[in-house]
Parts: sequence; C-alpha cells; structure tokens
Amino acid sequence: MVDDTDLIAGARAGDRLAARRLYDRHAPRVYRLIFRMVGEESLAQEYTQDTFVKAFDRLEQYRGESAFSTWLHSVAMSSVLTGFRRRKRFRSRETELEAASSVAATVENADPYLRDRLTAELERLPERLRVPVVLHDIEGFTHREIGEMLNIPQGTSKARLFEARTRLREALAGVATEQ
Amino acid sequence: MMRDQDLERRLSELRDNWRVAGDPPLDRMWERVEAAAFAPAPRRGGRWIRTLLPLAAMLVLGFGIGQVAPRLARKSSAPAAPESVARSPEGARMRNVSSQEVPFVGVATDYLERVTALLVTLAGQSRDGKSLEYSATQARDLLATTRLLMDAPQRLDPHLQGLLEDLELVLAQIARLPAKPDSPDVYLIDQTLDQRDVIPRLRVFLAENPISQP
Repeated sequence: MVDDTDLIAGARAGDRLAARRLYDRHAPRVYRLIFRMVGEESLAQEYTQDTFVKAFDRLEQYRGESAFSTWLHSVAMSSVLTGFRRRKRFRSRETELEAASSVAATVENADPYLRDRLTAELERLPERLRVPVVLHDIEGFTHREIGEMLNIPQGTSKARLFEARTRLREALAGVATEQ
Repeated sequence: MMRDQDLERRLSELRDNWRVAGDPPLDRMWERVEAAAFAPAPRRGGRWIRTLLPLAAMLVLGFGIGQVAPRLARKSSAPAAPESVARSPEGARMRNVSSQEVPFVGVATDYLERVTALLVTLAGQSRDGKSLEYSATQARDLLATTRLLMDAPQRLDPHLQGLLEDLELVLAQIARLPAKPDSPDVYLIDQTLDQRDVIPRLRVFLAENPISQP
C-alpha cells in the first residue's frame, strides 16, 4: 500500500491520481467528523469539499511534523468554523427575533429523555465550548490533537472542555434527578 | 447534580447514535475539489494587494481616530464609522461597552490597536515584497493575548466576543504564514477579513472606545 508521504509528494507535483487516492483515503473520515459538527448532509459535503480544496492548495505547508490526518483535520475544523461564523452572521437577526419566545418554547417542548436533552444542550453551547466536547468526548481525540486542530494550547482545550462539561451538568441537573 | 463520569459516559454514548453520517458521495464531491484545486492558479497576490491596500488606509484612519477622538470630540458627534455598521444593532451595542466595562475595554482597545497596527504592517510588507516573518511573530504574541481576553472572567459583550473569535482565526492564519511575501495564504487572510467584516468592526470598536493613551 502506498503511504501518505508518497501520495502527498505526488499531489504536490500536480499528480491528480495521487491527489485522488489521498482524497479517497481521508475524505470519509473528514466527512464524518464534519457531519458531526454541522449535522446537515449538504453542509458537510460543502465543508468537506472546501477542506480538500484548501488542503491541496496549502499542501506545501505540511511538513510532516504531525500525522497527515491531524493536519487535514485542522484544515477541516478551520473550514467548519469559518462556515459557522459566516452562517451565524446571516442568522443573527433571525435569532434575535426568536430569542424572546425561546424560553417558553424550551419549557413547553422539553424532552423528558436525558439523551435528547443532552444533545439539545450540547447544540446550545457556544461554538468554542461545543467543539472541544465533540472532538474529545464524542470523537475521542486527545487534547494534544485538539490543540493542533484548533491551533490552541492543550491547556486551553482542557479548560474549555471543563467549562463545557460544567455548563452541561448544570443544564441537566433537573433532568438527571428525574431519571 | 450529574457526576462528571456520568456525563462523560453519556457523551461517549452519543458516538454511535448522534449525527452519524451516511456514506458521502465521494465521486461527486471530488469533481468540485478537482476543478477548484487543480484549475489554473489565479493571480492571487494581485487580489491581495488590490483589496488590502484600501483596507489598510481605512485602518490607519480608524487608528488615528481612536487616538485623537477622545480629546477632540469626547462629547460631540461620534467619529465616523462605516455608515452601514454604525447604523446596525452591532454598532449600537458596541457603543454601550465602554460605560459598563471601562477597565477591561481599555485593555481590549489597546490590544485591538496592536492588531490594527499589525494588519497595516502586514499589508505594507506584502506590497513591498518584504519578509512576513516579523508579522508572524507579532501575530503569535497577539494570539496569546486574544485567548487571554476570550477566557477573561468578565462577561464579554457578545459582539466583542465575536470580534475576538474572528481575530483569533486571522491571527492564527498570520502566525502560520511562511516568510515569503507572495504566499497564497495571504490571499486567505484577505478573504477572511473580507468575509467577516473584520475591518469595519475593528474600526467601530476603536472609534467608540478610544481609551488608550498615545
């Protein structure tokens, strides 16, 4: 089996076949990770495409200091975060209009099951806290890998995860005692 | 309250049943990737210079306003922010920050002025074909400050928080720049600044919170 290093060298030289093999090898994992972040197929496809366009464009920057998959995931996270923020801008006014009714709606539609509440609270976390939870607790990445992906120190990743878990536990306190 | 171990277990259970993706349409996605990644390269450096230079000029103007405005027009009409931003709810909210969190905003303003100066320097270095190494080093320092501000115990104004998050990305991009001035990554920074309206938001914040001393 040809290893990533040879395929990367080929892709850098403009060999589309090598690039395609690199893509085939890594795209499914990148897509699954992005889907976990965005929860929509069309968006996951769009951000996966962006990831590989950027990755091939920046391939010269990859110096082999970390696994290619880790580097690729950092490009993927950059695409996702850029996409989140772009979408947030478009949605901000819409969200402000909805905010007034959200509290009542939350109580009325509260799901009695912890799992559903957990996913709801997870989705409600701010992006900077939600991302470390998904990467660490759900995807199983280490803080070192998360640090590389998000370009933050490991300590920051740990601190954000701690804060996120605290908020989740607080939000779920009532539900947990009902179980 | 739920114990941490219980929460961890519940979260790990989501691995198999929350947002689990089906198979992606690899061939269809590849068509776009191939078309975009292997098309003849556009003249990116040209676009960077064309778009950033006016922005840099705007920044210098905003920077100057931030320094001079408190002494010239403290109680008079507000310094000129871009009309579209100044009229927006974002502009209105930014105006409220200084009265509530003056000491913190002073630190934030000083930091934002340093970011502004860095962007101006970067534009000049890129235009003149000089090494970008100095800017990358500065960006690394400012990145650390950005994260300290983001993790500060004070509850941040959401718009300042948003600006800091966007600047974190921009600074991370600059910190990773190779030294060569014609790097295609400079184009990506340009794109990020453009897509997120970073420059107008910086200007508004500096114009509305002119606390730092010259």
